[in-house]
Amino acid sequence: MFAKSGDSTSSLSLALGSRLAIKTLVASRGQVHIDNQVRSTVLDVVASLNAISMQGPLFEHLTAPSNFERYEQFELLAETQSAFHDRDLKGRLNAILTDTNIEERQNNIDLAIDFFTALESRALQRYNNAVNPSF
Amino acid sequence: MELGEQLVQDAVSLTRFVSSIVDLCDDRSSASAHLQSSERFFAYIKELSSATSVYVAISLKQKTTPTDLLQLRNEIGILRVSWRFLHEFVKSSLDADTLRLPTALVQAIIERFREIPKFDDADFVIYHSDQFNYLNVRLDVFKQQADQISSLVSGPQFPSNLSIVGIPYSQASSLFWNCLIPHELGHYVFGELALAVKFKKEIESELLKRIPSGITPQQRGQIIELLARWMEELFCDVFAVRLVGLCFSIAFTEVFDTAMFLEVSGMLPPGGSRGETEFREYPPDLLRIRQQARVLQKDGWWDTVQSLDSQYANVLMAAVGLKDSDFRCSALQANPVPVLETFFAVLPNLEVELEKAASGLQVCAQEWKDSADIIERYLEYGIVPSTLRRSTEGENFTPSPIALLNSAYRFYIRSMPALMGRIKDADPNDIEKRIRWTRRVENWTAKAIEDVLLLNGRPTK
Repeated sequence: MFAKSGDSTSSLSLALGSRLAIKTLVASRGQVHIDNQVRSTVLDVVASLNAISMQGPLFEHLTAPSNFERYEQFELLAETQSAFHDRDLKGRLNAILTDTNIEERQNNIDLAIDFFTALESRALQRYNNAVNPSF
Repeated sequence: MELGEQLVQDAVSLTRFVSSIVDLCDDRSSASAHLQSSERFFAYIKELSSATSVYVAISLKQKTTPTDLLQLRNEIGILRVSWRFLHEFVKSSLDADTLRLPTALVQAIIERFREIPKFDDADFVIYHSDQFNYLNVRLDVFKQQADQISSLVSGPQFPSNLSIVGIPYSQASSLFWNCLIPHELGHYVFGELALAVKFKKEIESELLKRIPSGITPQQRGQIIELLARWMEELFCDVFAVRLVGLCFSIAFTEVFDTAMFLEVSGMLPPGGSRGETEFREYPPDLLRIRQQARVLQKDGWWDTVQSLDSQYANVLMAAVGLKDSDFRCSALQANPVPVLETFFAVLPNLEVELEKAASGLQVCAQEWKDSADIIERYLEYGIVPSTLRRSTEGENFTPSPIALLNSAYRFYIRSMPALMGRIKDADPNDIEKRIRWTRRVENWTAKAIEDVLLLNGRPTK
């Protein structure tokens, strides 16, 4: 009588979402224009970062599909964000969409790749711990 | 070892692992047959396997810089984990061949489900679970993950209408307990209609009215997730009742032993001191039964419940008397009062969503009542009740599979002595003999369901 969509699967889902975000960001390196996939990837994570950092509703902004629909995913996001606390994460993610200087945008994309890599890694660790707790 | 060589080793390791899973699909015995839905699943898995192998091989040739190779290493890593996720479902679905499944029942439930216009092409792969539990791999989650894996390797999309349901391997030939399967179809509906997001928004809005400050967004998120999970389980229950009727609730009370909460008088003890009204990770069974009872009442099953002399019916009737304030959540770290108030403020929306979700589905209580007694009379005489006649002059008719299921379940809990009384040396108080004859009732009913599906032009495979 269970839906298998709990902690472990949502972590794997987040890891896969992060990996796809990385692929998208890597592909956008050096491009003059930001495509829609990069835009929606960045907007999704920024909206969720806003949600966890403010006192307002967490789920109000949700319009599926998002990488952040479950509490466990917000939790991993918050955990990862705290590891980037001194790097103006939100500001620099937003800047990917607005920067006109290609070099600066490249630096911000690199930061985004680092961030999603960290998120992917944490999500995978949580998934592995949940499904193989005895190893 | 150089990075490039390490990657070759990683690629070999992944491809060997994927092959070890997928080879099982090809190594099947020619004697085994699977539902069409399972065959679609196996075909998808094989295609995804090929795409994974090809992608890794090509990427290995194309990626040359250390940065690219490191990205590929990470991709191989996540693909390995993803295939470990898929690993769980391949062998267990292969195990569930048509000889080890209540095939007729599964097909009947799926056909009934497809009567809902928006789900008229839905299909379900059934797999055997080692746990004693019924499970649904939510399509919105599974498909998302499968499609994410596919996107990484440019593989196939997971079929949009195919979901995966696990049943305990021990119940492969059971009829009655598998009446719980419709609950799992409820999870499919819950995911397809994105009810989790909808309920989370409603819960959060109600929660903020009651706890506007004093907890962190993370704590609030945790509470919302918990309450949404409770709503999901309850939704699946009421959906199952709407889909197949009373047999779901009877199976629920039987499988989860909820009648053990009753006193000798047939009433529930006041105060909930044994924890029977406590919310934990899931809602208390008594609340689940109370909500089911509301739909049973609405859908016209209640007079049957009231007339049924059984502990299963008694617990349904007793649960109806429980008030929202009878339920507790002592395990909650936050103040449980506003949390439960929030939950009960949102709970009425459950039935609103049920009506929307099941729109177009005819309630089946009356149809069952029209044929119940005659089906049970056939069973009492050991006759497969596929083609019925009300009297010697009457015309033949075929009951619906759902009517057969409900009649057989009622027969099992109240009329086994009547059947066994007609058979020499079949003492209804002899447990072994009663089990044997119960199995026969299940077999006759399964055969009748199969016949009815064939008569209606719906083969069971």
